[in-house]
Amino acid sequence: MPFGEAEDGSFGIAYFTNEKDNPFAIATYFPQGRMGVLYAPQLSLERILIKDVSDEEFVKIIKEKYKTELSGFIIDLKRGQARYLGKTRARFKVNYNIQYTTSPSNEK
Amino acid sequence: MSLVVAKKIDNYLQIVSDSKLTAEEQIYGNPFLFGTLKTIITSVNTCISFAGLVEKDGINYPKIAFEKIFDTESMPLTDILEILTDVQKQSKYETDFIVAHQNDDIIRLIKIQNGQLYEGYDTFWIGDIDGFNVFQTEFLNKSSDKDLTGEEKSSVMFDAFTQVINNATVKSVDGLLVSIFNKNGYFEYLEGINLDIHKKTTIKPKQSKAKSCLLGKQKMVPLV
Repeated sequence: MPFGEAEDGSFGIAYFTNEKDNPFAIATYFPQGRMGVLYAPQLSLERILIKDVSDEEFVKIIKEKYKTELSGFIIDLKRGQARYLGKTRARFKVNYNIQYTTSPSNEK
Repeated sequence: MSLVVAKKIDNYLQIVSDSKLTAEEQIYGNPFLFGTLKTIITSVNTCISFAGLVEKDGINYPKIAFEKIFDTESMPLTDILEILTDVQKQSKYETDFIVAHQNDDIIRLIKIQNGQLYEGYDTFWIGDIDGFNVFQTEFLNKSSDKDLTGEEKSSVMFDAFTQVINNATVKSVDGLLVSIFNKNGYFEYLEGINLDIHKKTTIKPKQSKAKSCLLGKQKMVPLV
C-alpha cells in the first residue's frame, strides 16, 4: 500500500540519528516535501535546512558536507516500503496513522 | 514555552521534548521546519534540555550556555551546572534546564529552576503545565494498572507525549517529538518513522448512499 502523497494530505517524518562515534545529531526528513532539517549542535547551534533532495541524497549530503554519518529509514512512498539504512540500533519507533476518506463515485 | 519530561525508568533514563519555538509577541513558522532542538546531547554521558524563554531582545539564552559548554571538551558537571545557573539568572529565571548525567552506573537528574538546583526525584519536567497535565494523565492511564516492563513504560511515555503534541488545546507544545534514552550507557537520540497516511476510496452508489465518512486507525509498533 502506498504511503501517500502530499496532495492526498498525507504527511510523514523520518527521524535519522548519528551513527556511533559521529557528532551527535538528529535529522528529520519529510518525504512528501522532499526536504529535511539537520540538528547537529556540536557543529552548529542553528538548524540546517536542506531542500529539494531525496532522503538518500539528504543522508549523503550530510555525510559529505557535515562529516556526520546517519542511520534511519529510507521511505519509498509509492511502494509503501521503508528500508533501514545504517548499523543496527538498540531501539527505534514506528508510528503510523491511516485515515480513510470515502465518497460516492460519479458512476451512474 | 514547550515541554520537556525526563524520567528514570528502571535502570535507564528517557527524555521527551517538542521543538516548537515561541517568543514574546512572536510565534515562529511551521514548528517542524522552524523549531529548535530542546534536548541536546553534549557528550556521551551528558544531556541538557531547556524550556521557557528562548530569545528576548536578540539574546538567545540557551545558545549562550551551549556555546560555552561546547567550547570546552569534556567539561565537568559542576562547571556545566554553574554555566546553566548563571544563564538562568541572566534570563531572569525564565529559561529552565534539566541536566542528565551518567557516571558509571549512576544516573543523575538535575533541574535548574528559579535559581535553584533540584535533585533526588525520578521524574522532572519543565515548560507548559497544561501540556504536562495532559502527559501525566495519558501516562498514568496507560501504565498505572498494568505490570509493564521498562521498555513498555518507555513506549507509553513516548505515546503520552505524542498525545500532548496532538492536543489542540496545548498550543505551546508542537512540532517534532525528540526522544533520548541512555540504556546502553550513553545517550542516544531515538530514530524512527512517523507516517500520517490519508487514503481516498470511492463507494459505488449500490454499496452506500453515504456522502462521506472518516475512519481512523492507529497502531503503535515499538520495535526493540
